[in-house]
Amino acid sequence: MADFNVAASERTFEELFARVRDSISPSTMGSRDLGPFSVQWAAGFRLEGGSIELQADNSVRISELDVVYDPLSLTLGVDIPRICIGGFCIFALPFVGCVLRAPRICIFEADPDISLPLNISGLVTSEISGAFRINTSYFVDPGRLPTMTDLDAFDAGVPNKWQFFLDPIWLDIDLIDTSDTVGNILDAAIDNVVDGLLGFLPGWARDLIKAILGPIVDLVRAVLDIVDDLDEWLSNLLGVSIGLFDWVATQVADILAAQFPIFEFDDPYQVLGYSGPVPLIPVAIPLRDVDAVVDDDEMTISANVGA
Amino acid sequence: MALTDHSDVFGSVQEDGFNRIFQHLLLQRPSLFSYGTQWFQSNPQHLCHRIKFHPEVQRRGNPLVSVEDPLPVPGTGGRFGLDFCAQLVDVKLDLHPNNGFNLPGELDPLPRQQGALTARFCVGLRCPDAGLSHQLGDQVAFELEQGKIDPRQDDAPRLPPTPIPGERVICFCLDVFATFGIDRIITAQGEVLVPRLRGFEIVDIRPEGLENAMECYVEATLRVGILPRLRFAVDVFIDGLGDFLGLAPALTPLSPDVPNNPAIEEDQLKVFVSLGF
Repeated sequence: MADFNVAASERTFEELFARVRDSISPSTMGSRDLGPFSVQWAAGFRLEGGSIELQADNSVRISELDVVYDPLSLTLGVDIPRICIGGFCIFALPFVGCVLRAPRICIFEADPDISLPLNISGLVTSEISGAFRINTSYFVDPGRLPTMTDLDAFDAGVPNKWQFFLDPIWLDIDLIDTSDTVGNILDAAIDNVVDGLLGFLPGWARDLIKAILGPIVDLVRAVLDIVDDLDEWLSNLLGVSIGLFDWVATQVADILAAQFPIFEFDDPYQVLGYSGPVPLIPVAIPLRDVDAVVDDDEMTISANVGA
Repeated sequence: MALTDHSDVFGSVQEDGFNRIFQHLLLQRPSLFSYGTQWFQSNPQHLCHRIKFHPEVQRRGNPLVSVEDPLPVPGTGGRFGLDFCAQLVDVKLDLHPNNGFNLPGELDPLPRQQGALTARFCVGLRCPDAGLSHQLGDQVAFELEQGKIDPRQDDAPRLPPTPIPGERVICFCLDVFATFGIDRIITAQGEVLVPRLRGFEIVDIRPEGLENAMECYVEATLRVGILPRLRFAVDVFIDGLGDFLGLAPALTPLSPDVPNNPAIEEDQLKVFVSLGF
């Protein structure tokens, strides 16, 4: 048996994980041209909830960990087919032809014609589930100078550490919910932008264009290739076109596996601190053969006292 | 049965681990185990037991020896004393059950929930030369006549005795055995674990009165001098987990499921901790 054993119950492990979970908040941004339309995005996420189950096979199962996208801002660039109205003949003379034409007005000549800003922060959630093993690693603080002794490093706040990470065995992410309000936000954004775009036109022209186009919302939806299912379209946009879910999964895996340890302690580890007016140096114990194992009751960290 | 069936965190240290910790303690805080006068501090080569120490001890200017006043020579009114040193070496620990070394009959068998400790207690006395002692004796006689040494002034503040030089250091070592338990007390710094001496024995000194007197002295040294410096905060045993989680750890209250906390059993010190969720 090892010199030291520290066991943490499943409840304690949940607290350790919650501390890591609540520390995670990465963000990203990017853009992509998707042919008929383009998209720019700024996205970030945080994690909430989730259930922990320690497994007898030395792994940790995390289920239903909510990914809350916040911020999640998309700007859709939509290229609407060019539409021209007017230009027809109002008065024509024999042998002369048309002497008076209605003015010709063309719209949607730019590419993209409209930009639809969509702020859907907190309205899309995913769930992550996965299995992890506890990976023990030794951390040498990059701020530690080569000339420093262990005590110097401790005094400078850059001691070496033993760290315990959750190393993914597998990780799965699903888009599970899109709020109904996302559709309303999209429709309102389209209406607002188109009304703004046509605002320079006289009322009769605006009505005429809308009469020609039918509901403009449907047109934009068609350009965006939203047929029936907004959830499916958004999932495809975020997951496939932007690669947001892959990014989230990669971030979660990287952060848990290498950035935020579920637990750590200094090496050497102090059992008696500074003492007295001189002061006497702390008594610190080097820890070796450090390992962490999990069964279905608890996580146990073991270590031997080094020379 | 899980280790944490009745607590949030369980910590244990094996007796072999404790013995290795003791080695680090000896190297990093030698003055906890070696006491002596300034002369021994300045001349550690004359100590009964050579002190090995961690390089950081010297680098940070830590003492190898805790400095004590010279041992007064009776009849000099505290004017003169002898340099001495006292060292605890070769410390070895054995947690219940007793299987690491043989205890003397007076302490055997080791009671449940206790640990045993064996060590060598070495004492050195710097013995003054006879010629110099005669000279100092003449000086004391003169000062008595002059009234400079007045045995009646018991309450007068005194300077530490002046050590009498000498060439010889006489050393002897005693094998000592102790049994101990761990008490838990609340301090301003939180709950701490306090080692308490339960029994003490020096083997085979004659006459018996000398043995008893030596035992009394060494016991007092351990109880009053050394053990108070070996109190461990509970949090030490769980690696600052409370700070890590922002919780206040405390030893799990005693119950039928946790009859002893800390527990000394199965060659381990076990600690059960609740985190106050």
